[in-house]
Amino acid sequence: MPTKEEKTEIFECLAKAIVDHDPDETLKISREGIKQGVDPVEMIQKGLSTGMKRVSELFERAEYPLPFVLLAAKAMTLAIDQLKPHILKGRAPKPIGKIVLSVVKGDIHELGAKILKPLLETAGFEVHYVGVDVPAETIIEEAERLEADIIALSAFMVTTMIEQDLLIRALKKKGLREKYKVMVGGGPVSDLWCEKIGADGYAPDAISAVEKAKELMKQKRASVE
Amino acid sequence: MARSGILLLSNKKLWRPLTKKEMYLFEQEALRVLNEVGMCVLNQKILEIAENNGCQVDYKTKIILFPEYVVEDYTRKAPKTFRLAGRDPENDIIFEGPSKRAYGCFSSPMPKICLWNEDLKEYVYRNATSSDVARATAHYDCLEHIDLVCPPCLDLEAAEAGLPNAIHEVKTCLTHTTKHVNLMNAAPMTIEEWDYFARLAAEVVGGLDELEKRPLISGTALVTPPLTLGISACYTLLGATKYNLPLLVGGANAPTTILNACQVVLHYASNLGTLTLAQMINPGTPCVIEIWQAPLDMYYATLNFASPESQLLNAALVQLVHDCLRLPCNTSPNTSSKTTDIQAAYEIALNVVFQFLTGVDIWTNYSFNDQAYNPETLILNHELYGYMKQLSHRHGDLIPIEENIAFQAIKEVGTGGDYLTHPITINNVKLLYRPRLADYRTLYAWMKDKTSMLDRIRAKVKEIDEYEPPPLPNEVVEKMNHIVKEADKKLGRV
Repeated sequence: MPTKEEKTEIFECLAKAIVDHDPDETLKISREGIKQGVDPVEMIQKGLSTGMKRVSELFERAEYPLPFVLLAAKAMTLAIDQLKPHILKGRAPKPIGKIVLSVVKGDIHELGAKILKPLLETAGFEVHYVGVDVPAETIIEEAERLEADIIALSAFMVTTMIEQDLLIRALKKKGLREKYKVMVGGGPVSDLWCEKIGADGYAPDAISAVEKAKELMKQKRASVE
Repeated sequence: MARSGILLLSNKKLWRPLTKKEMYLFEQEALRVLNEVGMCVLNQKILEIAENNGCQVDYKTKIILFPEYVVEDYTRKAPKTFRLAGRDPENDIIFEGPSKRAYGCFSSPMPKICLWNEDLKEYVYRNATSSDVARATAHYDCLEHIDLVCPPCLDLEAAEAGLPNAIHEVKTCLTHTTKHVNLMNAAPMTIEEWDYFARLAAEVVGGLDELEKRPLISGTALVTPPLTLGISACYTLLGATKYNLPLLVGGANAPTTILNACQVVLHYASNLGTLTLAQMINPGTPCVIEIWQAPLDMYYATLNFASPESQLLNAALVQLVHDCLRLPCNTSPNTSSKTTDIQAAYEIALNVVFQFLTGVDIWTNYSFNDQAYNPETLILNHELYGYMKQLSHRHGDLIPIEENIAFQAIKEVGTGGDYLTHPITINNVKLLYRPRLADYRTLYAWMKDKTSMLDRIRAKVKEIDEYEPPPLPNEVVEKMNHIVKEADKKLGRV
């Protein structure tokens, strides 16, 4: 069994490999950790997630370029996939929540959504990206099928942001509005628009979107309790 | 009599960063991209047209592969001379080949508006309304150096209500300017929107036949990078060509790769692809090539329109379009500043200078700060455009001919004499640059009021706010209102 110091060193090396956006090194260290008998759940929570948190902080301070953020997120996802088979049954960390993420109908601008997805995943969410130019009905169907907690909608154009409103109206019509938290984002979208259409959350960028998603999950859990 | 724009320097004096060999290589690589990678085009009709005109089409992925000969054949069909008409024929723009004259556009199709609040002493950002579209269009109509107009902001009220906001914006623009209107704002969600655009313009000009002769409006069909022609852009290609209206076509490079040569190839390929499709749909469609460079800032994830890379890429692409396609082109730089400050001033100045030096034909300098129309930025752009116009004008008396050297005057004044009252000065005083806003006073004179350029820009905003554009006849406006109401009913989505 590894000592406390040995475990701490593995966690630190994992965090550093993530900050160094080095998938190979991340995988190598996680394999090493498994060999040494370090708990894979702890490696995820205290190693990989710690690294990703540092990456988010650096990005927020404009000290870490976007491509590296995506690479760091990729490194974490690959490492988690490698560690999953070693997690004892019943010990797998549950996702914080399940999100259906989509770019709305008529819109094909997906950079924002593509940046957001790995950041949400590395924050502990299970994310299902539906794609671009997706009608509201299809997004709702996916949310129903996956029993999602949050529907996250991206619209880059003034002419497509109305689709966010239409989806919420569709949810109300189907009697499903209370079942989902809806968050909105994209170029012309604002907190005023969010309030106007009765969405639950708005975020101007990917980093704050992750925090907003966490906040919405807290609200959801509180309302269930 | 059409608008004169800015007379540009001859080719030899322009900033042309590419050698002939480099241009050839870029052209070949762009053709290779179109042939081996292709363009994704999200419209069934255009895919079929492409296939019927020699391209290889995969209907599942919606990717068109363009053989080289197809691109060369079709791009040649774009006319080299054409007119963009204004409600007032004095405001027509006539293109007679690339790099002859530059025309100021200064657009800003943004959903917000940024205004200086004198009471709060800060800039206030808010959503744009239909009144803002009207007022901002009037600004553009008022300013002498603005040669054509794109809707300066978007009607967010209409958009949020699920109405076809572009139709509202087009109607507002046509009623508030006598200059040509390019529909850079329009991202049509249905092909029918273009029928309404055409009907609105036809009311102003006197019918659809007249609209074809005097195109009051033109469309803009931009690629969504990389190499994808989206739904709206496809509708614009089909819609504008249906009415034989001119188009701005082509590339957008934000965000994309970092290497400059790669950016040039991608962008030029997008230009060639979109131009080819426009000519396939309607051979002889007048086209201005859009050069839209905004490298993504990798630390802030924002678009940067005024970076050194942007200037370099614009220069390279303008050269390629002018030399290889012999067509006019447009660049759309901007400032990344959020207020009218030193950053805005130097970025706008650099943009304008580089545009002049590259010989680009239309300057669609955005007047916005972070998605908000800012009239102060417009005024600054306008002042600098006037500066470059003066520079171009004064090039005329730089030519060392007898009249300009005025050797006789030199002899007459001799050594230690005075030129101030000599006819050579008296007769030419009016040639000198008189800035509208820059302060050329002495320090002593300035101490009396201590005003800054920004004070004068703000005063100018108040001045142009008072301007009322020449109205259309009431019956025309009523018909246009009726068309908009009909569009709201048929195309409204809520």
